[in-house]
Amino acid sequence: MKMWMPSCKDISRLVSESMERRLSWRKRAGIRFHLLMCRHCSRYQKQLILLQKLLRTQSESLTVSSQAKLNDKAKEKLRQLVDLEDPSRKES
Amino acid sequence: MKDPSPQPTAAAENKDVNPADWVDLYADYLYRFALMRIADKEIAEDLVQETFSATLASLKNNRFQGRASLKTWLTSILKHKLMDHLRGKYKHRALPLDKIDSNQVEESFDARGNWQVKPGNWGADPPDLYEQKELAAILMACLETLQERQADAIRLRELDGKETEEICKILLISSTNYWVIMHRARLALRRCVERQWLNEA
Repeated sequence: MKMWMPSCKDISRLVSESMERRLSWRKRAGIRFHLLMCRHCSRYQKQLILLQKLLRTQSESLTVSSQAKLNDKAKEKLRQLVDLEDPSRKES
Repeated sequence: MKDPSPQPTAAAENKDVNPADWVDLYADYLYRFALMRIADKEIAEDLVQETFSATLASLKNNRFQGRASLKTWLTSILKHKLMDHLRGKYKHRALPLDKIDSNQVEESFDARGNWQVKPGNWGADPPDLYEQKELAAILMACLETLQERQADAIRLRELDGKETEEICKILLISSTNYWVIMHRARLALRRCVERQWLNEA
């Protein structure tokens, strides 16, 4: 029986794919086996998972703490827009 | 009329937030939200403006009643506009897979499939809260260095939580393309973050 011996290159692809969809039992077993033997790929997977977690959980906090500001001119345009459209100003 | 369990802040927010205060309260937040997803400042400005318009219009039609939070409502309208913008961006392009996307895969591995540069030690696992914030900032900066389609794929997936099928529809790619793009994006992103985190030259 020919054994499936994926390279680190193969595994890197499969690790990413496993984050997107459920792989076959055989592939998952092959990945797990490689990861047990290979600390490089094991690290790679941990780092990918960490980055995914950061993107998913930190983006709101980054948005809030960002220094970016809408410029004054744009804000003025917005204020004018709101003035025009303010529903509480519209009356019968 | 049924009164839901009290959320005084939200209810008060609906009633008492004067549209005149919207700009001061929400404009910067919405702008940053947009900037996190699209690079172009002018387009981000336009989208914020369209969001305000649409929200004011729905207030007029009373479609806003009972919404949990004005900020959430504004943000969700902005999200729709961001999606529309993305769809428009890719509709007019047919990007062949290999030519446009950089192939980080070929650069990361040697002919035998071994790592050219082995993933380094990033420190505490998991990192503490302060490190997480630092890493996140580096990560967002690195996202900007990716090829456009790779960055959009990552954002749609990880920031917006979209499923494969919807991402493929927006980027006009097959699911196989999508997995390849995500693989390349992750390789590049991780490497970029590592360079900065480990202070490599």
